[in-house]
Amino acid sequence: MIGIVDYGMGNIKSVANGIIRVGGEVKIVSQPNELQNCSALVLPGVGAFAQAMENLNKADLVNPIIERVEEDTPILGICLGMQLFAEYSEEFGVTKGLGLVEGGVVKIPEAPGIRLPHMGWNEVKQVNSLDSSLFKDVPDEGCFYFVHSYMVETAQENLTGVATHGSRVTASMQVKNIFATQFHPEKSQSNGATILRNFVNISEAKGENKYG
Amino acid sequence: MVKNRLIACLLIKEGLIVQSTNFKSYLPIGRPKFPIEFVTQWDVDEIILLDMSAGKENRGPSLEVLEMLSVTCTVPLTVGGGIRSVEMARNVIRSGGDKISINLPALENKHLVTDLARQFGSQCVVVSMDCKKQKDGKFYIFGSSGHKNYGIEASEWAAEVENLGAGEIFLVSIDRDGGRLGYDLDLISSVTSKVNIPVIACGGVGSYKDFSPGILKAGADAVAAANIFHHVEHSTILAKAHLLDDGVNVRLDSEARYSNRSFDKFGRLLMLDSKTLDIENIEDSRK
Repeated sequence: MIGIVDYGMGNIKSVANGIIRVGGEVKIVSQPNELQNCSALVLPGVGAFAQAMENLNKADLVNPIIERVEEDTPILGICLGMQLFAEYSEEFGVTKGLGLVEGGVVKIPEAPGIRLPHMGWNEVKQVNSLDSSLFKDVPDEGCFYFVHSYMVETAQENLTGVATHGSRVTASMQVKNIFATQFHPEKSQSNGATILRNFVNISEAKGENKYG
Repeated sequence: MVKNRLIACLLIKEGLIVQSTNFKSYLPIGRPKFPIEFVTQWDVDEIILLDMSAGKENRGPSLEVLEMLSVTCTVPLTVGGGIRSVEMARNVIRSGGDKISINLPALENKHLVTDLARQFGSQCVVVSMDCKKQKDGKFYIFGSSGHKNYGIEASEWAAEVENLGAGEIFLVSIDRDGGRLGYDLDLISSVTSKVNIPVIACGGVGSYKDFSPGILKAGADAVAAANIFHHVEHSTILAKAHLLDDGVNVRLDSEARYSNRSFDKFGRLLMLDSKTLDIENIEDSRK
């Protein structure tokens, strides 16, 4: 059972539908104790970083999420959910994040002819991802749907995918059991469905190298 | 590079998808479920779903219908029609909408644009603008299904909503709506030259050839149409085949690409004779 964390900010329905479409079982969770019963978690998110952290704090979800991740529960952050994994964000002033992944959230650099938000379908170049089970069977430079103005800046070794929008944009990352995509797999047609199915497989996997 | 987008605009009136001409006459297509399934399967990049009865009936878009549609919609879904509060927007997003489109409520309450952007992020806020050319040669914002002139120039309003926090502009030409004469490129250029957020062009597409000028000549980031996508198999794939042929960078993941096919002057696919079809099938099966 994959728990989709509902903290009042996400396109919960779209994400739930996306996982159900590929055969996963989902439960929408909003109470701290509900996280215990989930084999994996998804942290979706649409909106502003500071508001999201405020909502997570108000709902007493920050520590339960961190605890579950430390217990090796696979978690997938989508869009703002990915950004919340970082240590801080510079959106509307500096806000502290969940701190699950080293790095911060910064604005995509402006450049002539580059419109922000970075909105639409873009190719994701897979990096370091030969061993990322999230991208299994996804064509390199396959198209995914993005919509964001801020992105995670983290160490190269954490990246699994990058896109180009003026400069290099972080498209996805993985640190052990923490998976994250800046793009929306639930809105990226068949490529997105493959990603979600892979995450369902990860949530069901047992034993060593389950994230390998 | 981020790709240009092809967007299907689906208009709902009294619960049915319709085709529209000049915001005046409407031709029913059918229940919303099927058109959404079709264009989603046919590689459309996004869908804009506008409930045209909602504003008049003083309600938001039907959440029940939205929940049903979001089950099969594997591309981003922008929802509009009667959304006039943050609370209504939140319900739409929770029911499966990915972005909110607001039109008149933005004109009547500018704070709404900012409030929505603060709550959900700019990327979630699409401001829809219905525009008409007036005798002075300039384009103005019209409301109430094209009856009321708000006396604001389209390009000025676009710049203002960008400042208020809108993430995208859905630019509709009332003059061209359903007229099959192509986009109003002057209108689109007047707006794309003023703002730095993505602009979606809509209104007037009568043939698949009409899409690419919106991007190549007028600087739109995305091209939308409504009527043309109905009643034709693979309509959105055919539109993309034309865009790619004109050198526009769009996504086409479909196996059917129509890249070496001929079209008539209306952009309709010309049939192959049986011999050609046969050879193609044999070649395909050898791969």
